[in-house]
Amino acid sequence: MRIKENHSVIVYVDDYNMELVKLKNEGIITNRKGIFLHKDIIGKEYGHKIYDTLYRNYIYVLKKSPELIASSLKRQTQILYEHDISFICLLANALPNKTIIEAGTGTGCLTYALASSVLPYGTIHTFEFNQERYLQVKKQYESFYNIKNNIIFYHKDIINYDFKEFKEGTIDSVVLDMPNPWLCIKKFHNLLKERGIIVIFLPCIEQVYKIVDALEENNFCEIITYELINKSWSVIQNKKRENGKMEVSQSVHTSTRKNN
Amino acid sequence: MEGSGEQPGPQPQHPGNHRIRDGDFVVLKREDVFKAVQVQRRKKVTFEKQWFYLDNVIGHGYGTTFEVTSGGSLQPKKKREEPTAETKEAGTDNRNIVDDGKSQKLTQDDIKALKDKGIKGEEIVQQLIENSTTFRDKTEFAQDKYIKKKKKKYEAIITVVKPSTRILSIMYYAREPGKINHMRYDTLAQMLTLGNIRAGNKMIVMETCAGLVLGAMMERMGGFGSIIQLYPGGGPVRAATACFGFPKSFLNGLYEFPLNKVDSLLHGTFSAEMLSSEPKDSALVEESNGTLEEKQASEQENEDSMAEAPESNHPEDQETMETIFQDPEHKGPKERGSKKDYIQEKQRRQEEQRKRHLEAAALLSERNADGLIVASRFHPTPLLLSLLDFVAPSRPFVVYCQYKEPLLECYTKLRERGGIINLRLSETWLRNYQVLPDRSHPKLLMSGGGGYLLSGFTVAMDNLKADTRLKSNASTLESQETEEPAAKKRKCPESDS
Repeated sequence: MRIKENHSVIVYVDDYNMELVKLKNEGIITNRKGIFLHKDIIGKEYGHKIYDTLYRNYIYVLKKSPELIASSLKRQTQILYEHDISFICLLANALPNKTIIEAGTGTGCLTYALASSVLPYGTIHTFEFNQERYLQVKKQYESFYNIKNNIIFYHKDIINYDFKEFKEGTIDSVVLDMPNPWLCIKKFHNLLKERGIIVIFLPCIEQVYKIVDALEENNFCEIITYELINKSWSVIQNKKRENGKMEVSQSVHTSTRKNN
Repeated sequence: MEGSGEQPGPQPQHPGNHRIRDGDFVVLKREDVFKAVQVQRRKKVTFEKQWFYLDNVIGHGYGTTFEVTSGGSLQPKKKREEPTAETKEAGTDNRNIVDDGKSQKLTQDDIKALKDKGIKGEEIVQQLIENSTTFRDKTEFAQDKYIKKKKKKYEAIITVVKPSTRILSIMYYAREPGKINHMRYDTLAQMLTLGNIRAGNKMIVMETCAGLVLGAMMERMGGFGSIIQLYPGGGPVRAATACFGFPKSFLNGLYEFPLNKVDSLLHGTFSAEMLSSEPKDSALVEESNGTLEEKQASEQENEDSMAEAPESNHPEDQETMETIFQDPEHKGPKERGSKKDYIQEKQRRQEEQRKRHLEAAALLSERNADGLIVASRFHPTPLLLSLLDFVAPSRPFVVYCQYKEPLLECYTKLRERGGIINLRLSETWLRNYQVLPDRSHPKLLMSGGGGYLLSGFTVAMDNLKADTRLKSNASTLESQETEEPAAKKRKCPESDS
């Protein structure tokens, strides 16, 4: 499969430097390895070396995947890491042809993973109340040809949104990553199918207390709260032993089901 | 299939609320305990020290709760409204409470008598409360805890839920972690996302987790795309896969291929004849619906076995499972008229299996798989070193191992091999929380016992094909890496594609 113009690819410099780039014929990439021309990339195969204009260094151009997207967008404010995204997809039953509501869109990392999971005909309805972020992510996804048809972006505050055009009982899951989710829990009860699932991601324990209260008041059942910690290890080769903790990040997930 | 580049098709039908039918696969849930079973009329099922028939489940939707009544029948039970908290008499702390084991006035015999009389669980709990001398002195929280504990013991509420990766992986980790190499469900979640498992991909998997990883992949792919499962021994174990209750159409994209033929496939010495030289092995696959391993497993099974139908000792049940899972068209030897028919059937199945293996070999030989997942009890290094050759460049691979050390070695060997970037060794810890007013705290920290993951991405190997667009001065810089070609060419004459 050849790389095409106007597509977005992952430019891999090294394990800690990856960038999401939209390819244009006249485009140029500048990084610590040198200057790379987009037209040297267009038409090539993924995963092969691409050399800079001086033929001294190379980079790799990779196909997008949820993990690479999350790594390349890390520079922006984000508290959702790859391991959180994976766990959310499992808890929320993000599967082919499902319909999922997400709020807020944020950087779009979670949106990407959810959208990949609901291919080919599922839909992610994703809400973002910040106009700048909404426009930025929407624009970025214009060149994500594989999944753009499976995502509908809303520039709305989900707390105030009336969901008029949504029929009752048509949503499979709701995924929330927002500061005050308890304010909009109530309306999801009708929107969700029987046994529909809500997954809420929260960084603070006080928020967890509030959301669990709200869920119980609104007739949701099977409320479980998890804390997920990721440890990654680095392997130092010449010493042939592992290094130890490199990155420890914590996050809290609450998941619940709609009561019959 | 390139995802949804084309116009999305018609909206998938909303099946409304699915009603459970005879033959469906369900999961029984009581509090936090799960058990996967297949709904079959007049078939006795044991779960949590009770036995009953599942007949009454038919026609209800998932999520319905039932109560076990006398005679083993299930009666649907509506979720009661929690009684409004009347001001209960309660103490302030436990300073005066003596735990002498004598505070309950009802004896075991009394309780048994109540049960025999057919008194409902709720009533029994009420009786226990009234006959406890210390109940009134307990704090409100302690009272809640006491009631909850008694209810758990005497009120048998069972919910019937739909199988899913989430539920089955939690179930297996809790009940039979040894079967899945102690892979905790958050680790499995990582594998699915790191491996970019999604509809339309062509995935290669090698697992010895009773088919749970395979099932999770199939669920994520929704029947779109293809999966080639490499298996050790006589055949793949798919006990867990059956619990998902996938429709038969999902089998169209599922292939299997023996691990012991992989080397010959890589070196171009594989031929169709190699498959038919093992009639014995194939026979084993037919009859045991899996491998010898499974047979051993079912021998150890006690009445509390988790996934009853697939691991049952009854050959008939096994045949039924095989029918549903392996071969959609096949009628099953139940309907065999004579021994001759049976032999013909067997030969037909063997022939079909052989054909499938050849198709799998062809798919593998294209060397353009979209990803590789390895989760087995074997050392990962040799597996990875050979299986990665089947994967296209710029694709993810994930290796699960119960222990960290083999993955460290793997990491090093992969670095030596080259053609791999973004190598990461990771582990997730999981903790669940009890969240109750004034009583919130973590319950259990699960660490280390959930396994480890090594993941990365493939890139084009340097020595297979020198980049022809390279200028001559650059190739001198690369000369070290492109030195191998001659030897490699001799080794694999046909794989130079």
